[in-house]
Amino acid sequence: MTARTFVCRCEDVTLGEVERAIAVGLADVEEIKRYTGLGTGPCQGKECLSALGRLLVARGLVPAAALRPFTARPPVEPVTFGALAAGATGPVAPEDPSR
Amino acid sequence: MPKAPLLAPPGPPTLTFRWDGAPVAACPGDTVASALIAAGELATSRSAKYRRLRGPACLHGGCGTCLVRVDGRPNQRACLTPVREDMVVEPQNTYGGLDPTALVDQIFRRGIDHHHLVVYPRLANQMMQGVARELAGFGELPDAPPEGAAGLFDHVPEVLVIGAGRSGRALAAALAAAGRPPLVVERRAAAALPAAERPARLLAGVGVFACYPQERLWAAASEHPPVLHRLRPRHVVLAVGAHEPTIPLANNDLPGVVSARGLADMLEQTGRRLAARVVVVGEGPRAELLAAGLGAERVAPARVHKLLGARRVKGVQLDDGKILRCDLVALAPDPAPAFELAAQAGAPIRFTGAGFAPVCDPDGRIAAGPAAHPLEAADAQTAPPPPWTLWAVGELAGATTPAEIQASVDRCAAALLRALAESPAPEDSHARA
Amino acid sequence: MTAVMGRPDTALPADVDVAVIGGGIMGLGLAYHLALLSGTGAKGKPPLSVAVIERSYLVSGASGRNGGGVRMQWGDAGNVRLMMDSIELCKDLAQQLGINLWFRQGGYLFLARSEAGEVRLERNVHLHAEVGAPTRLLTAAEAQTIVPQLDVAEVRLATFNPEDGVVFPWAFVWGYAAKAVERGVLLRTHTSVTRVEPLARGYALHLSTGEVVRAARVVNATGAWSGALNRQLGIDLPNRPHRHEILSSEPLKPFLDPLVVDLSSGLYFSQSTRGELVTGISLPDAPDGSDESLTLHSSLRFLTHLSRTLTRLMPITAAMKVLRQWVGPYDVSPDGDAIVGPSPGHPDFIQVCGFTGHGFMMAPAVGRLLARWLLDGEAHPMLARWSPGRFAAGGMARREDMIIG
Ligand SMILES: Cc1cc2nc3c(=O)[nH]c(=O)nc-3n(C[C@H](O)[C@H](O)[C@H](O)COP(=O)(O)OP(=O)(O)OC[C@H]3O[C@@H](n4cnc5c(N)ncnc54)[C@H](O)[C@@H]3O)c2cc1C
Ligand code: FES
Repeated sequence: MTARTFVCRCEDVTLGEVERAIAVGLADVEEIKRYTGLGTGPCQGKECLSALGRLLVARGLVPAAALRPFTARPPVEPVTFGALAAGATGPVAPEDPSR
Repeated sequence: MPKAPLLAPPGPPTLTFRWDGAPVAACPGDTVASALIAAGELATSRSAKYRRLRGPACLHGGCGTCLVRVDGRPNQRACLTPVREDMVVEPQNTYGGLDPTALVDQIFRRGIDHHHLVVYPRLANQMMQGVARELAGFGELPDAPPEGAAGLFDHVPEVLVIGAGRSGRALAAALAAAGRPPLVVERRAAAALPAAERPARLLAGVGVFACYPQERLWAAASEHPPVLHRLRPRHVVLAVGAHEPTIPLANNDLPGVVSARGLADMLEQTGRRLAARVVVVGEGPRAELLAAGLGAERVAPARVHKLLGARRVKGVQLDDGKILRCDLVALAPDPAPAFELAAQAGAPIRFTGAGFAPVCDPDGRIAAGPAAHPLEAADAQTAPPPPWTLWAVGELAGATTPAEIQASVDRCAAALLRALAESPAPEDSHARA
Repeated sequence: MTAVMGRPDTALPADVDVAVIGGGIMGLGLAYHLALLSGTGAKGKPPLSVAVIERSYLVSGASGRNGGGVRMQWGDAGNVRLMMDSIELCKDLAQQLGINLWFRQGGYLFLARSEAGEVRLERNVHLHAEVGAPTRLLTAAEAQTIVPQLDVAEVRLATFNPEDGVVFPWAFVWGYAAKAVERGVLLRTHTSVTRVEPLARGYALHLSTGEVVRAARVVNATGAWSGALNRQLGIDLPNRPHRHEILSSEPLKPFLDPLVVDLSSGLYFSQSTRGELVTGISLPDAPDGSDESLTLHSSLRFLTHLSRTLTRLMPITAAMKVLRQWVGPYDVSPDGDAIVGPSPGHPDFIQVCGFTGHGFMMAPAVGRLLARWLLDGEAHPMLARWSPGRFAAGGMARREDMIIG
């Protein structure tokens, strides 16, 4: 097995990959997320976001006071389409909406 | 080959379920993860890109690597799923014991840059994309749509407490003692909570998945049966605790590398005892406490050269070359508060050094402010002020030790009761919509 | 090796030939083609200096928030031809840009559940045959052989075009950015243009950093945010921002090849390379906002409405889980056609806006034709049709009825 250090296990993002993203000029949590895929898997950042934050602060790339998380998109807990369908109200299908 | 058990049962096992075709014995309080770890089955899937073996890690519902197929439903969290007799549990994203895709990890020793992998020539690129597509997804389509009709409930509680962990339960008890019992929503099954401490009004097995300030509600759901809950509370107490982030160490993804906190909680919840050698990696008072509780040796992360093992963790190699043999490595990082719901509710978020947390006063009251990201910040500012008051307790409010958590609960309960005293108790309503 | 894709500290000169405001797919696709055509010193001209100024990170706008659908199944011959060009360009674009675009031609499957939809699909098939697009008419049962999990009880007719497909949008933007930078385009991120000041020749752009950049020609590629800049110059155009919600599901092994569109509800869904179902729907009464009120908040209403429609059409999805939901801005043009070319009263202030919910797929073709026009004045039939002057001149006509979402 190859020795690898992971920051985000869901999307298999290693410390080296984050370093490469930083090296090409990406310094914003949102853009590092998108370029490396960090935080886009099943945990949606619960495991990896804070590790990325600590790294950016430790490297002096972002002052701690200015660091912001990436947007905490719903859902933060799993929800099925089946459960959500129960919440629909209003007409079943609008009249052909394409314009 | 049967694996050596790692956790001793609290009594004779009375349940049997199937793991990857073979029977596994379990006890009534077990989750799929605790039963599998007990049986020495640490790997539950292979990872998307490097095809490495992975297994339950945070033991706390937060990390997403314990996902297994349960009775034909993909991506169920083994660490939150109670074991049932005859349950059929299967690994995901693997192709048997001698999985040829495991070679990916060997071949791409220097890493895979998926943006620039086999771009040329076009034909090879298309073949690579086909293979990547086959390997990527996690789990197969479900066997069947859920049985039974889905349900919808509307709740208008005076106080909603999200999370029935230590702080949520203590806060609920304090409010109930003062005659204002809150509605408590907890994603774990009721059986996972100590019977004596179960809140009177509890929605268990239900996860609050979002706050929608523009729609002035909080949304929660259970998966089986499929039910959606819409909550319109006057006060919301976030008792959602903290995530256990990873510690960047070489091979920190090996099966058997778990969260020390998650392991301790799992032992408490299931009544199981350690029958394995554990090394705790972490520093500071919290890590020391956890290591003592687990009766394990502790090393600071800076001293670790790498974790050893191939199919599961076998030891910790230190910088001086020394090797500590073990069956489990328990990581004890500084916890990262579970700030997500607070952020969705428009709370100002700051970096604490360990993770992100909502800004709150000593009582836990959170002032509504702009949303976290400038592009999406306009939302919070244009939304009308929310119809609820937002509070944080416990680890979300920065408490780390049991004593700090209790103090945070006491302050929050007192302040919340003062706020409630200013208005008469309204009738809560709960209705099937 | 990862290439540089623009930086917050890229040095900008005081004067450039072309300044592009907005680093979305339109701005960067254009910059790439400008660099490609001019950088070689074609026709003895000196290379053009081009700067792109992006307010936030790359892929922060609509280009980073879309569904990645690419199709030639349109209702109007001009759009079909344009998209045939664009899809042709997409075929080896990954090799040209040196980055994986994950372009997968799994086709688009359109479903009609109403008589009106049926009529449109039949018309499309005839039109496509004339133009040379390989669209086939299918029965409901045939549609089900392509997507076995569909419940086709209400489906009256379907069409399928195997050349249509999906891409991974972010990589497209990064690819254009990296190649444009490699060819000399100056790409500044995390910097916004706060004021556009007309000069005797060209414009002075005032940046959020306090810098001022003068440009002989300026391209407004800010999509849903373009109105604010236009109004500074008194340019009155009718495109308006509109929230469009979208989500992705938990990633599963491949089970769905085409992108499916239900014409009756505006529901669309496809499966990404990663295995996620990517799906959106038009909300029955989503309000159009002004750009001051453009907010990107997600809603439960979207989730429930989409889920009901999706689980009826594809019942197995009831057991699937949502991974994340988000919102992006459509830049809606009133007649459904884009707004591209010199602005009324400001011939050197050029629009490339109004692409509603389909700008991503058009960008490869648009970038090339607009670069040719900017450099050499080369005409293109779509440019005449997309003229920003058409609204004042009363030349607005709705030609397209296959806009989704
Ligand atoms: C949810 C959704 C789904 C979609 N699905 C599809 C699809 O399947 N297929 C398809 O083809 N299209 C789709 N679209 C449409 C497509 O995304 C857009 O048409 C396309 O991305 C527009 O590109 P753009 O470059 O014009 O805009 P944008 O990507 O929005 O770029 C504009 C940029 O300008 C920047 N900017 C704004 N103001 C300033 C300023 N003052 N100074 C500097 N920079 C500024 C912004 O930050 C932004 O990055 C979808 C759109 C949405 C929202
Ligand atoms: S989510 Fe189950 S172990 Fe982390």
